Amino acid sequence: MKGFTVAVIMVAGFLLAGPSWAGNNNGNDQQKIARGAMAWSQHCNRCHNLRSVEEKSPRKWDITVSHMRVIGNIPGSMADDIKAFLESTGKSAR
Amino acid sequence: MNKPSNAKGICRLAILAGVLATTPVLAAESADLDLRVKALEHELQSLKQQMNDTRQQSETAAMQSRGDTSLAKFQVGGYGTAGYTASDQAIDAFDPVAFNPIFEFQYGDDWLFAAELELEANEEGETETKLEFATATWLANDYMAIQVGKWLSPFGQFQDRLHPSWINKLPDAPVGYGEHGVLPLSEVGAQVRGGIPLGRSIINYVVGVGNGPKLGDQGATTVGLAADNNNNKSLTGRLGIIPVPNVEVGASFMNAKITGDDPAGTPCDAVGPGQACFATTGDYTLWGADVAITPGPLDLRGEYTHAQLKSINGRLAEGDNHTIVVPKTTWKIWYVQMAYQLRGLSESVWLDKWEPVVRYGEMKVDGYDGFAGDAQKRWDVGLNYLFTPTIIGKLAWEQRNYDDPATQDEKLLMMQLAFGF
Repeated sequence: MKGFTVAVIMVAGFLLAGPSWAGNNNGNDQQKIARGAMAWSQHCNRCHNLRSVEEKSPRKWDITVSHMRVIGNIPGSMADDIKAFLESTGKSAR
Repeated sequence: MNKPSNAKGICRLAILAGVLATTPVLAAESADLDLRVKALEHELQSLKQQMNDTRQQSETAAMQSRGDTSLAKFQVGGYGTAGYTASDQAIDAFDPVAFNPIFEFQYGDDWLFAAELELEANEEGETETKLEFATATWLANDYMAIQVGKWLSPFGQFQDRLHPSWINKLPDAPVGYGEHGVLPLSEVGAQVRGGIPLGRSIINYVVGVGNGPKLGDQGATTVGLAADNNNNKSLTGRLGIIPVPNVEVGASFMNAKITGDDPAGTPCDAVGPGQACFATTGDYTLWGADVAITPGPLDLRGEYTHAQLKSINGRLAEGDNHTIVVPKTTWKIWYVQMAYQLRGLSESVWLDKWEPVVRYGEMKVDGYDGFAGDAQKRWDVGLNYLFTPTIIGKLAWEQRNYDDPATQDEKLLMMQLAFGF
């Protein structure tokens, strides 16, 4: 049990620090939007039909994607890219 | 000949004198010009600042008009369901109507609170209210979210992600994966979850600790108990990998101890040989695997779950006044499902909206006969019409072949309208 506890603490510390080898969200806005469009089309339909991008305002997409990031276990940088994409489509739709 | 020389000299002297006389004037004009340039520069800066201020004010005003300036964001999502079921073994009827609002509150970028209610008009005409989940979540970093509250079980994919009616491709859950089934439904406790990118792949994980399951008339049920009758806490987890986009494979586990319920406290010397007395504690262990392949219009997925309850004494329902001995019991449930949206197959917009579905599932129970009533093989064939991506009409035929020879096999025709919002 002691070994298990130590292992859990080590893994938690590793995750809290953030793995250095994992991807990041560097790049300009256009790159983020392009990555977001790709991620949106590839990951949201792992579970459900793709909603229309015009269904929600950028602000509501922000909340929705945050919630879906947790349910779908999506990396935060990818969720940020998807938000950037949905925000861009929201602006162009107005 | 000297006159021209003198004249030239006089001219030079005059020019020199003129230059000398005008130099102070030019210097003064230059200084004045500098001052005017500086004044213009200052004015330009001031105008730029005013423009920025005005732009910021207009943006702020626009955001305020949309109520967008606060850190706190709120929305209501969810889904609603209505349906009709015809059966050759029961009276045909419209199904209970369900309304499942999901309230989502976000503070800044890192804090979330989400809760789902289920309001259902039942067979008695009454409204049942259930708290499906209510969680506070801290997004600790890109790879980790920490969640407390009542959460949907992350075991497998169906309960955590697929059970909402507008997502589920058929009107009901696969055998063993819905309410009163084997799959854990929800937990009260804490969990850590997230995803880590590895090139084009993603590894995702969930580890949770909760109060765990209890013993019921269908076996062990994990339904988000806000109390516990032993100090043991359940440990649930899932490790998934998305090796390439549109493909996910996962493995899940759950380990818990269940203490039987025995308020009567029947003394062992008061019961006959072979009868149960004081409640005992038994181990309950689940493991499972899941796969989802979802490129474009294809949705192909399957899950397998193995559950085992070690021998335990306890009562199976609150009304029971005695314990029983439940022998070691094993459940095996699985399903495979394929759906295909017909979009893109022709130029017809009408045809694009249809989605045929087929599913096969089994539930096997080995051990206590009282838990085996729902063991069966189940076929489903359905056809969905997508009015929109989230408003779906479903028509499905279901065949249930029960393992118990005393139970009549059943055929059902189900219709459902699912409305996600």
